[in-house]
Amino acid sequence: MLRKLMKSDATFTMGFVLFIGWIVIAAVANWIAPYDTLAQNLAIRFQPPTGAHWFGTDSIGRDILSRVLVGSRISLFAGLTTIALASTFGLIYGGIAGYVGGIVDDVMMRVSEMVLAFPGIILAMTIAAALGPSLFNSLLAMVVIWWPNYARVMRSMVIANKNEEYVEASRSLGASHLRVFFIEILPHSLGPMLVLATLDFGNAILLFSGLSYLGLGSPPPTPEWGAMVADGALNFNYWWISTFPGLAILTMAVGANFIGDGLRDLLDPKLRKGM
Amino acid sequence: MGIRRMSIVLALAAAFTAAGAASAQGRQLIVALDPDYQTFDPALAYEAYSLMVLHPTYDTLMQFETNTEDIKYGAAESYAIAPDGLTYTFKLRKGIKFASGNPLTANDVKWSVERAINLKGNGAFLAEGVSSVSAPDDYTVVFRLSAKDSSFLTKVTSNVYAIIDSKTAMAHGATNAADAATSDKAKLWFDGHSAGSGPYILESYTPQVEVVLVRNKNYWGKAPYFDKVTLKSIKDPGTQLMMLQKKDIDVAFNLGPEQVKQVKGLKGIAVAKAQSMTLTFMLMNRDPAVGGPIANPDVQKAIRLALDYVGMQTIAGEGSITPVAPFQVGFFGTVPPRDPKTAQNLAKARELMKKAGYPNGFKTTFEVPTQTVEGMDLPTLAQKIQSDLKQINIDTDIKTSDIMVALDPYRKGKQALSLWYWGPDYPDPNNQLAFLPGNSVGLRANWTAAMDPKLAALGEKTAVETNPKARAADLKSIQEMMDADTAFAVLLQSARQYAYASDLEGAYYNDYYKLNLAAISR
Amino acid sequence: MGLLKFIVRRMFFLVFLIIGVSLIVFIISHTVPSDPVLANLSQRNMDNKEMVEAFRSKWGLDKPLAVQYAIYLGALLKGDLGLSIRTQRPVSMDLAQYFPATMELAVFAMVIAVVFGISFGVIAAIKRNTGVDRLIRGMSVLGASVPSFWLALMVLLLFYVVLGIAPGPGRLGPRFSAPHTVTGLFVLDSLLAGDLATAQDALSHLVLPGLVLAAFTMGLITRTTRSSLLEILSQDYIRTARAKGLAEREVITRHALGNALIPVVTVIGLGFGNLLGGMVLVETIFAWPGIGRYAYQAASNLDFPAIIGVSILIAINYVIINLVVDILYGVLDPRVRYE
Repeated sequence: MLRKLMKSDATFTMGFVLFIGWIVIAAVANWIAPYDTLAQNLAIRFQPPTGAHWFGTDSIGRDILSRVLVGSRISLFAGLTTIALASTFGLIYGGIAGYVGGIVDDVMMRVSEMVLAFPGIILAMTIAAALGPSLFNSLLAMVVIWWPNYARVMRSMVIANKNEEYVEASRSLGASHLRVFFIEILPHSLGPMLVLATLDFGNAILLFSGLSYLGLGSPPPTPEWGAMVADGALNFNYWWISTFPGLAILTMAVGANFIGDGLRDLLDPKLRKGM
Repeated sequence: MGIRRMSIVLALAAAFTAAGAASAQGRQLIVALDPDYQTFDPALAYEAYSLMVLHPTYDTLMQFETNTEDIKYGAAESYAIAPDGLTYTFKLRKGIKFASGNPLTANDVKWSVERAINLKGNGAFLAEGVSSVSAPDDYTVVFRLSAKDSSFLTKVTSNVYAIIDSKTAMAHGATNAADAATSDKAKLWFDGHSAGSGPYILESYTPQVEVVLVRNKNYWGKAPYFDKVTLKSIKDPGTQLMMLQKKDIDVAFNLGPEQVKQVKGLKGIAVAKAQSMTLTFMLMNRDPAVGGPIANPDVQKAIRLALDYVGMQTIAGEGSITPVAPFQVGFFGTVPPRDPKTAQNLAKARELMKKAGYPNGFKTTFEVPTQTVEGMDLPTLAQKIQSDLKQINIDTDIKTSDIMVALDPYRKGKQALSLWYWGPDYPDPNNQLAFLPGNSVGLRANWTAAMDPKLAALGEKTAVETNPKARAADLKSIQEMMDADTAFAVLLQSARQYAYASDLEGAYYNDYYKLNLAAISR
Repeated sequence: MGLLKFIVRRMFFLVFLIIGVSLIVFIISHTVPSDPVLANLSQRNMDNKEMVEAFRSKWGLDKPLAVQYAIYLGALLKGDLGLSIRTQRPVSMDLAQYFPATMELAVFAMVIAVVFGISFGVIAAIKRNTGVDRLIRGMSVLGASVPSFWLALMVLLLFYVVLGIAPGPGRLGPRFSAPHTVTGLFVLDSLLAGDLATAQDALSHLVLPGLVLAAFTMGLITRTTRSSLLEILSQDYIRTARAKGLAEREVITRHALGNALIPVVTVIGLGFGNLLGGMVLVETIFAWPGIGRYAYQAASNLDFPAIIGVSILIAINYVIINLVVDILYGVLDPRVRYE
């Protein structure tokens, strides 16, 4: 399938290469980073890109290249964790709502809609300001504002599958609700959830870097891309300080989105007809 | 023929009116700054930038001009102090009119001060010592003080004593009644209007955007050069710099050291530097229940010795210095600053750590408000300090938070190790006695008077000492004692850097008024 | 279900939403260890017990949480959102000042996103599987992947600082002053006042932040338009139209596009929601005196009355936009029933 996709879709291939590239970099970042990400040298602060420092140095003389490389670990981790937790919670929540139905479904869905209507980034900022900025708190905030999408998709999948013949058959054979849910319904609902998760990965990275830009991510001196862009914003005319971490965010998000795009086209039969 | 000539005349006339309109519009000063003002009610305003707007819009009995050492007459033309030192009698200049056209009388002075006292705003303590104000006639005001106060004339220059047009203010809900704190409804009106007699009128205030001042045609003194002054709120120093480079603004008031470097030598832009009175310091809690190992005086000494003052001054920018104690260079009695090159002594610091029982160091949180102080980003400075402290094995976790959130634990003395800054309330070293053990800032580090009774007692003596020689000697020994042992590490007294269009004149920095707007011309 | 009943139901949801949003923020405000209200006292007054008590009672902080919330809801019924801790002004007054700035920018960005998004989508669909199609699709993914705060910095640096062809941050150049407030939308207000120069300046200040904000939604609209148009083009009635010998252009504009835009409406609604989220970052960088920046400052200062006020405002917007989208959906596609 992968090979077929790569052949037919150049953008997918590009996304795939970018994304795998970042995963490889994240895996080996600690070995390939030319400098210690925390090592300061005030004598060489604000240096433009040179042979010794390809991406230049920041406001306290740290090597930006090293920080960009190591920063990939945090971004990937944040994206994966948010999506994993939000989709798991959404899956359970939407599953219950869809399976039980009736008034329970009604109330649960109104609550999830309320969270959707709540301006997410404000909630995230409030949580981070109240609990103090940290990686954990910003991830918590992201999960809180992200799960309703998954809950909605899961619920509609469950409702669609609930009345299928095989489910009814299984139930008439005396299977427990839990069994029916996990054995019969869940596997059939996972596909769309997976596509949604892939599509969301890029967005999760963007939101995380945005929070980090606002100073709501890990405290300094952690090399977080968003926070590095913010350091550059303070020192506007030294373009390299914010340019490179920004490009890193962009390429990682592009990679994820190209993959998601390709996957969606592949899995959406209506679209394939049009191609 | 006639018609053609006529049309030429008309065209010329039109051109002249257009030119006239342009010059009326053209005498405009635009300043970009990152202000903290909250209100322009003179009785309530108490922010660092409040006076920048209130000084040109209101008169005070006494005022400063270029520097804060030399106090001058404002709306008063003379004053007399009774021999007991408790009665101040001011004679008002005659013929002063408010912008509204109402005459300025002694009754307005009395009303304004009473209102400030009763409103209980943040600055009300400056009038705390006033037991009564009376206006025996239209041009005489008498203040009775409850205790002698050698800084009373200085306090009279503050906006708490600004003279408000009481008729206009009352028409908008203001009152000087004893219950003014709840019954006065004029704050919102004052935020968009002024009722003073200064050279300018507050035309509009749009929070986060701008303050617009226009010339007061009824002003009694020398008319200011500019017809209109706009103070643009531009938080980011980089943006201020961009706008100055593009000639969109005349003054970029909050430049950091890096921005200044970038404009130096550019044509048409002048860079100015002045000593700011703002101190950046580290608080080290003396209470072991809060500070843990930080509470140990030897650890605190070690921390002061471990810091790289040269590096910190590099980050703060050219012209920044490190006073030996929390007393600003420039104030009466302050001793010369530390030599940054010799202030760091890692060997001695490590020794002290060993003596304190922490040869292998420890871990602590380091609380930092996300704030820029004179163009220097505190979290950036914190990262520098973090790497310095690592050299004596102190591992710090930086915890950043907004200043509004951080102030509460600071005030309650709940921070083990934190980075702060301090601007004086009024230009006098007595302000700084707050850092002594048992006083307000000292107590934020849980540094009680009992921990250093000698220093605390000396502080109390200095506060009321009126003999300049004795006062200077006291201040000197206080600074020496604090150099040897305090709950603080004084890091920096920054330079204040700003840049302006080089054809401006009189754009001098003054810590109190920031810029004296009425004195600037082109 | 009838349209009216549908609207009434949404309004009920809105009430539920307002109560929920304010309750959530209220609960957060009381789990916070620090007391941001007191931060407004001067350092000197903070040490004065009497002052602190007076201040606490002024803000009702000395009462239990449930009572405080009841008082808040009571005031809310009267349209009173309380006083902002940070600005010391009524929250409703702050919102009234900042909201038009945000709306002006949002509408501008949305117009850009819709016009270009649909055009690019149609072009990509017509030229499907060609280089043009791939380029447009690539660009749309790029638009959806670029961090807005970074793009904002880059365009400012490039177009304002280096090239000098775009105006700087803010809503107006420093030498212009705001037009007399009618709608709060500067372009409109200055046109109403007949002040063309100011209108032009205001419009030019919209361009950079508008483009940055539009990037994400534009990508979304492009992709949706393309796929939905492709789907329609493969249907039988289009084949019939083609078979009748109609020109391709006519087939698309007269028969296909209308139906293809139905799903786009949903995306536009969604995009508006995204836009308000993106405002926080973009407004902060462009010094845009709008709701996003206000919300950021309110949140980081833990200015709870302001946080609740902004949240309610944005939630109301969300509900209204969704309502409009749902109704439009029904108008465009008669098969849809309101539920």
